[in-house]
Formats: sequence, C-alpha cells, structure tokens
Amino acid sequence: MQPFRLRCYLASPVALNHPWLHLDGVVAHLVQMRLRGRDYYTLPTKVPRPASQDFTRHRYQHVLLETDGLTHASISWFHPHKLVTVGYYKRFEDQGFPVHRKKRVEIGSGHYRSWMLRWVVVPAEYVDFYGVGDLALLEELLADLTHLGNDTRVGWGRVVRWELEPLADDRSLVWQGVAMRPIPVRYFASWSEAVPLAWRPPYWAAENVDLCAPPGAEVALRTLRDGGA
Amino acid sequence: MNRQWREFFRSWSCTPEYRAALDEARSTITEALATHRRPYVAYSGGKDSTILVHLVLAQAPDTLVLHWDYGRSFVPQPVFDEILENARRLGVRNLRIETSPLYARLGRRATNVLGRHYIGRLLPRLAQEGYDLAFVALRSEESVKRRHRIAARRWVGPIEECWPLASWSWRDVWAYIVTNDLPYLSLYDARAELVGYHRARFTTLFDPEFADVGNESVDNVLHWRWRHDPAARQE
Repeated sequence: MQPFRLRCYLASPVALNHPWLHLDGVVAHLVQMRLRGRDYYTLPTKVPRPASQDFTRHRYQHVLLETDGLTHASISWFHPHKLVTVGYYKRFEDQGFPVHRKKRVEIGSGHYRSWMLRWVVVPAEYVDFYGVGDLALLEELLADLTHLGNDTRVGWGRVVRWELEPLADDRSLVWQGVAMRPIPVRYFASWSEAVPLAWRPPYWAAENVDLCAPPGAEVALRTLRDGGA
Repeated sequence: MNRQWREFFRSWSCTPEYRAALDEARSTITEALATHRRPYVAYSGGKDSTILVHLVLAQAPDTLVLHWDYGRSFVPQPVFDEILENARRLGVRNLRIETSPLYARLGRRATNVLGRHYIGRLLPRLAQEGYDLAFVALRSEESVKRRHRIAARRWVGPIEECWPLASWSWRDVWAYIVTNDLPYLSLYDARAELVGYHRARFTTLFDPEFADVGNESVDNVLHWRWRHDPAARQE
C-alpha cells in the first residue's frame, strides 16, 4: 500500500451536488462498473444494497487502505476553486423517437417532461485526490474513468488524462493538522468543528451520516487500529 | 457585500429612477395607512420585506410585523435567529410569529403548508381579529406570476394587500439597503457570489417545492452544513 496523489485534468467544468467529491466514492463506482458491467445501471436506486447481497470477495476489495473502518481517501481539491452556476433546459427530442400511438408526447409532466436545471459547477483546470492504496489495481480501474461529478451525460466533468504520483507521506485523512475528508469525531482527540455528514460510500445514503469533522477542520487524530471496521 | 457592489448601489441611489420608486412607495404607504384602521406588514426576513418593514415603521412605528416561521427543516436555527435579530435592529416593537405544527411533524416532507395553514387558516383568523390591510413586499420583477398577480390586483387571502415595492427593481432594493445601512441575511452574500445580486433570493432551504427551479444543487453546495441538520428531521 502506497500513499499517492491522483491528479485528473479536466476538459469541462465539474457539476456538483455537494461541495466536494470523495475519492472512495469514485473508486467504489469504478469497482461496481467492473464487477457488474451494464447491470450496474439497472440496480434499484435510493436504497443502499445490503453487503450480503453484494460481491463480498473480489480482486478490487483492497484498492484503498482501510484502517479502523476509515478509508484512506481524501475529498477532491479543485485548482482553481471557483464556483459558478449554470442554468440549462432538459427537453425531449423527438428525433429518432418511435412514432407514438397518439402521435403526441406530453412534455409538461411525466417521463418526458421538460426541466429547467441549475447546477453549481467548478470550471477547474485539474482536481487532486490523495489516498493510500494499491497503485497497480487503481491504475487498472482508472482506465474506465471518463468523467467526474454530476450530470456527466451532458458532458460535465470530462477527464482528459490523469496522473498517479507516489508520495512519501499519507495526506488522505489528516494532513498538516487539517481533516482531508469527513471523519466521524469519535476518531479524534480534538476537533475545531463538527457537522452531520456522510463519511463512507454510498454518500447519498442517510444511514452513512454521522457527526463528522468536515474537510478543512483542525483536528487531532487518535491512534487508529489496523484492519477493517 | 464587497466595496465595488456597495459603490454601484450607492450610485444607483442617486438616479431619478430610484428616487421615483422610493417616492412612490412612501406615498402608497401613507395613503394606505390613512385609509385603513388595522394594517400589518408581512415579514419573511428577506431583503424586500426588510425594506418594507423599514418604510412602514418610519410612518407607523407600532404596526404589527407578522413573520411566518417555516420551521427548522427549511430555515435552520442560525438563519431564524438572524431573521429575528434583523427585526430587532429594524426597530420592530410589535412582532408576531406564527407557524404550523406540520413543519415539525413532517420535516422536509411538509409541502403546501403555506397554502393550507397560512392562507387557509391564519389569514381568515387575522381578518376576524380586525386586520384590514396587509403590506406585502411583492415585486413585479420577481416572476411572471407575480407580475400578473399585481396587474390583476389579486390577493391571496381575505385581507386586502398593498404592494408598495411593486415597481421596484433589484437595483432599487439593494440601493435602499445600502444607503440606509439596513441589516440583511448573510445568506444573500453567499448566494450573490454564485448567482449575482440580481438573482440572489431568500427561499426556504432544501425545500422540494423549489427543486424544479434548480435550488437543490445550490443549497447542497452552499448550505451543506445544514443538509443533515438533526433539527430538520421529522418527528
């Protein structure tokens, strides 16, 4: 297991639905894509899958180091970090659409309704993640990484290339006395700020929310035990 | 608000357009106060109602200021505290806060409560209590729907409404705030940095009723500290 910095160069702004992205979330996504293939897109949404129904043993199980239940994976650090919003419209396009029995498609409501969308985007040149893991396995997974962030189907967050650089020190959890990712406060001896946040994937699941020191908070870690939670 | 924006709004306050809008609002209020027995001002805590409270209280300091509390699911405690503090700094003597128990019971699943409990129950009760005029900080510029409502002189409840800021632009609003050094919610500066002062609005946070106008992504990024606020959970 090797500390590293992953730098992704971007060709388009990253659309965000949260102030940051999580490296372990990105890796979990790539692992699921590898294991399930196209079936990944037909999984039930909104409900986390119980671990018993999931792949329990696979070669990507230990891509990232886990200590005392904490995955050594930072959040995204955008360069430059400037947020902007963009508004756009999602509309049904009838080109190539099979002719409907009624020859009418409802766009005011229902499945094909038009939407006015407003997204927060970061027009960054590149994004850095820090972690500790198996670089060979990670490189294998990153071959599938084409986009980052939300609404990638319309082109946001296009990754043109990425660099994986080995580092001498671990910057994934706490670096220079500052939290590099959301970490439950029970792992700390002291912390400057605590906020309820999701701290492990899937980050959208309410069951993964705990009182955490947010990224950027000044913290002092307790000694962690090796091994999973 | 940075210095550049302050200077811009100060400059705007010297324009004849601004003076005309201000004079019109003052005379509308004077006339409404003279022709009604028991008016009140609707105060959301937003920039427009802050101005309206200031303008009305300058002429009738004891007027009731009515605040509808959306509960901690949609207005986190620090924001609610700021709203009340701003009312105090505006010199409000007669503040009345009303709410619905549905906000605490349903959390962020409480939808259309304003229609059922504010318009459907509270406004008729206020009418029974003798209130005969509501000062509301509605502006035509805000949306097509509001423009039509103002043009049609359509009130939402049984009490007559008066809209002294109906013709005000966003520049007029901020110019009044800056020149009178009025307190305003700190949320505005954060939102303005993202969307600009012309589009910065105070709405309930993490509210599914505003999801289809794109507020969800903005709230999730700007107000992430309150995304999983324990106070926002339903009973």
